[in-house]
Amino acid sequence: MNLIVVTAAAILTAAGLIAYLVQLRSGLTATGLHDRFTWGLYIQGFFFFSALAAGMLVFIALVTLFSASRFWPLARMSSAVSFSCLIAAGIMLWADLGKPFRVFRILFSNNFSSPMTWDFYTLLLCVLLNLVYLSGVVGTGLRAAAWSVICLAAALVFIMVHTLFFLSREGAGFRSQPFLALDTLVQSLWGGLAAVNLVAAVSGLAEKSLLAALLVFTVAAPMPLIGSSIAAATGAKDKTHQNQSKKFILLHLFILAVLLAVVAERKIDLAGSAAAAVAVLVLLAVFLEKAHLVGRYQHNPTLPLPFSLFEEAPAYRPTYVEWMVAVGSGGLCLLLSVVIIGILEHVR
Amino acid sequence: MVIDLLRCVGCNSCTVACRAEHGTPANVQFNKIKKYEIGKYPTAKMKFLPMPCMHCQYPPCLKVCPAGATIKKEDGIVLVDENKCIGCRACIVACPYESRHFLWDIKGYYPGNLPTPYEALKHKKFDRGTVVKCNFCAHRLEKGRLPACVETCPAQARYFGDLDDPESEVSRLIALHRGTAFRPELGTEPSVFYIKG
Repeated sequence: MNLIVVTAAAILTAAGLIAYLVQLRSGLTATGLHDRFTWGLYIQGFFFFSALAAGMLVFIALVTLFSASRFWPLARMSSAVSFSCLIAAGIMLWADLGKPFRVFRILFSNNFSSPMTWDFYTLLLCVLLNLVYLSGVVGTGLRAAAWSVICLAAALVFIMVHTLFFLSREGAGFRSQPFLALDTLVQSLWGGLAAVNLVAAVSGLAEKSLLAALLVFTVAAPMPLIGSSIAAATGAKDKTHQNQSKKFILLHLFILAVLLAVVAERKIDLAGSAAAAVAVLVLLAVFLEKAHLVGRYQHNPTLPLPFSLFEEAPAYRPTYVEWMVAVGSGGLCLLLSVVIIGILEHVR
Repeated sequence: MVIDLLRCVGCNSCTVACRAEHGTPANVQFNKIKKYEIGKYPTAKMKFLPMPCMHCQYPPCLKVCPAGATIKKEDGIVLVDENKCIGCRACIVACPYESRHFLWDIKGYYPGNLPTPYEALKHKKFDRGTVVKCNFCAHRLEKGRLPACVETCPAQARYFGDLDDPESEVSRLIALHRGTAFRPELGTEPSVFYIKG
């Protein structure tokens, strides 16, 4: 089974690498991006992988902080997946840069008013914290508590920084409201917990308590969307935004209904495989949310009316190169996860 | 810079002069004129809003640049150091005036996108994968000349000078005609003012 997964992941990674080499040669013209829609699938993927990684880190930090030894094996595996997600996120960010080989300039420019600087530093910190955890030096007691607190802070800062990216943008409808930060936080924790459930289901460690936690976040996830929908209805001039939030709320409710059916199932084995399916569904919902978040902010013209009267809404279609790089990053994430978990089991 | 909206006829001379001065690749215009409409038929009117980079006092692009590639000179001109730019485009997202362009590719305007000899010469200074913008023709200012758009404007709708000097022509025009900045509510404090002289 592992060999098939590793081979498939390696093929996807190789395909992504080839696509990236094509992009490196022709520049970002290989993407469907343009000056009006400047961040696309790569940044959507970056937000998605970052959200999962940070959400999982929160779970790992809580398990370590409260010495929940029952979940330690799962936390170690989750750390491997979180680390892999961070690497995938880094690759997506790298792929999006016009001059990728200059990326480490961010470390030396020290412009801390830039959200991207914070993003870069917190990403590196989260990678480092995962490596420390995977190396097994965290242990228990004060050291574990200190690691957990730092980890929790780093993961939460990493999540919240993503709400700053579009701060200057206006006219973003139901996303342009005070619920954005809460939405980003809940989506990240929801996605992270779904990924933990997926890891648990695949490794035979599925538990009803994990599903119950996912259920809680599935109930919580649409709340900011409902709140923001009300905010948009009462404040926004463009009422079309309300329909967009409705689609997301309906998707969340569908997942909630499926999850309730899974939790109601008594046999944990069946619940395990069903939980994996629900987890995948949640991950899809989180990706759609990230895709919408990035797209929504760029959909409307930058200039207000009437100055943008004759401007068409910018269209963006990711090219095959972008899809291949994104799928390749996912493949690498899977490959790294399987390999690191394999190494951890071997070491044990 | 002060732009007189009553004098501007939307002829795009400034856009062409800017392009000729900088030799910008296709689809890159440092200086553009927004055309818009006000009112309703039969009293509808076509209006023009020339828009160079606003060289804001508090530029959002400067804040978000993670690589320190955007700099603000002492004279207030906001520049991009193409040798430092990592091409993340955070500045494009942050700029509320659409003043920045990413060099997706460096192409000429003419069939086949082959550059003319003049374009080929000018294109050398552009680096694909970086962000570019209006620099108020800093190279001309160093020689004591006016920006190309100001010098070219046939309606003499543009004025250039030191906003910090209350005796300068631009300061007097702003005071006289109650000059306003574009989207002042954003708090960026642009250095480009519009008057209806």
